Amino acid sequence: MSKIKRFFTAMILIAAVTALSAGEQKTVTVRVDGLACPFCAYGLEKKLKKIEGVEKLEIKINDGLVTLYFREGAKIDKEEIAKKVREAGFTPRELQIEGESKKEIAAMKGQKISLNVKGMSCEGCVSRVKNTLTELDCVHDVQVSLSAEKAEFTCTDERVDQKTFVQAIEALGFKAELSKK
Amino acid sequence: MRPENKQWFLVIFGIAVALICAARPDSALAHEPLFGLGPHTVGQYAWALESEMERGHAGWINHLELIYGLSPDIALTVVAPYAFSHENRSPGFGDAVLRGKYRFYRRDYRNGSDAFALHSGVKLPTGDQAKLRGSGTLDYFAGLSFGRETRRHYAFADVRYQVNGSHNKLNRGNILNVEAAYGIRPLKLEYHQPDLVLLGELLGEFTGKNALNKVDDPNTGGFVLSFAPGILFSYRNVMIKAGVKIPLMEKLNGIQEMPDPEVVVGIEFHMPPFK
Repeated sequence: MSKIKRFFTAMILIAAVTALSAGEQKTVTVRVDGLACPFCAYGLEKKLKKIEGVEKLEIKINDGLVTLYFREGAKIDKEEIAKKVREAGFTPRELQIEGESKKEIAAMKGQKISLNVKGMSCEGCVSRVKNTLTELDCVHDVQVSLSAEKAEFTCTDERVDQKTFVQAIEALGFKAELSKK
Repeated sequence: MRPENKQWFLVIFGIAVALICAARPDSALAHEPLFGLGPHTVGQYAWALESEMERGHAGWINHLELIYGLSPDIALTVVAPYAFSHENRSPGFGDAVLRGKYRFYRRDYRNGSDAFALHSGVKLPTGDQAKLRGSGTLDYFAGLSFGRETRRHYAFADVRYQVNGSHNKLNRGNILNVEAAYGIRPLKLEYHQPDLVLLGELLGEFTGKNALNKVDDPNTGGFVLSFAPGILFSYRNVMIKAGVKIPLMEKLNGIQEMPDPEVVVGIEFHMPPFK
């Protein structure tokens, strides 16, 4: 085989291996609260780049999202990602590994709250209750059941008065009370 | 941008960068008031360098600041001022400042945060008082600051009290500073893009009378209200800041002149964390 043919064969093989490797790169998207300015984001970038396996990352301040690109085969430690975000002075809320479901990071450490909700009559009511609770700052992992007349969620801020949740639901026109355990 | 506009931008940018200055004890970190206190910290194991040039009644003074993050909510700062020659003063280093900040409350939400912080520090008599580069006294200060930061708006409020020591039987009056500030980001650009914030600060300063041999000097102390417009321009880990503090009204004791306006221009670098 001539030198030129060998060269092109080698180039094609390298390109194929590179393409395969790039396809196996895993991405992790983290929702970071407290991220309001580019100047502050620099510290976050540097912290996250120190994580083993991170090849590059992308920060979208307007969306409050950070996407980490891990090299093929790298171990993804969710706790370490959350820890680095906290060390940078921000709060990690949600983490999603490509191909998996979204994980509420702070929900692991929050308090579970259950509300009895009376007056819901359809899935539209369920959506309204769910959306209202989800918009509250400390609330994660909201589950609303029409048949059980219950709304369950996690709140990561112990300082929040639980009556706030009851008032938010009652403002929609439903009756709500904290479930007694 | 047209070529001629680019040139003007570069000239203004170059002047701002060229004016490296010395920090006041109340210099800011990140997006914070230029003349007051703010609650932001640099992050754990992170550090920052800042140089501010200030021009006031005491001439030009340059402060070099080194800030280190002990934890996500605790920052320590060392300030080394350098006074340029002015009237009877020869140039040299002035009174150093050691300052600590503890952000005891922080509420993060999407694209914003609210925070409260406690501040305290000490001004050391490291400057040569005979050459008018220092007060010769050990002074203490403590303060409380609040900050709300969102993508578009900033709001700050702080209060600070400084207790001045005495030297050669001269006791300078203590100082109470109260401040409110508002800032706005006209363009909400992304991370690797320039960022501009426009600030407006309202500052009130209450100063006690000086006393010599325990006798009050009737021509010292009083109250001054000032307004300070400023800008904070940053790109990635570099921030250039500039502002001017303009006295609006005064209620000074005895016979005193209205204070001169103060100009501050500075540059701040956020460095990669050690780990």
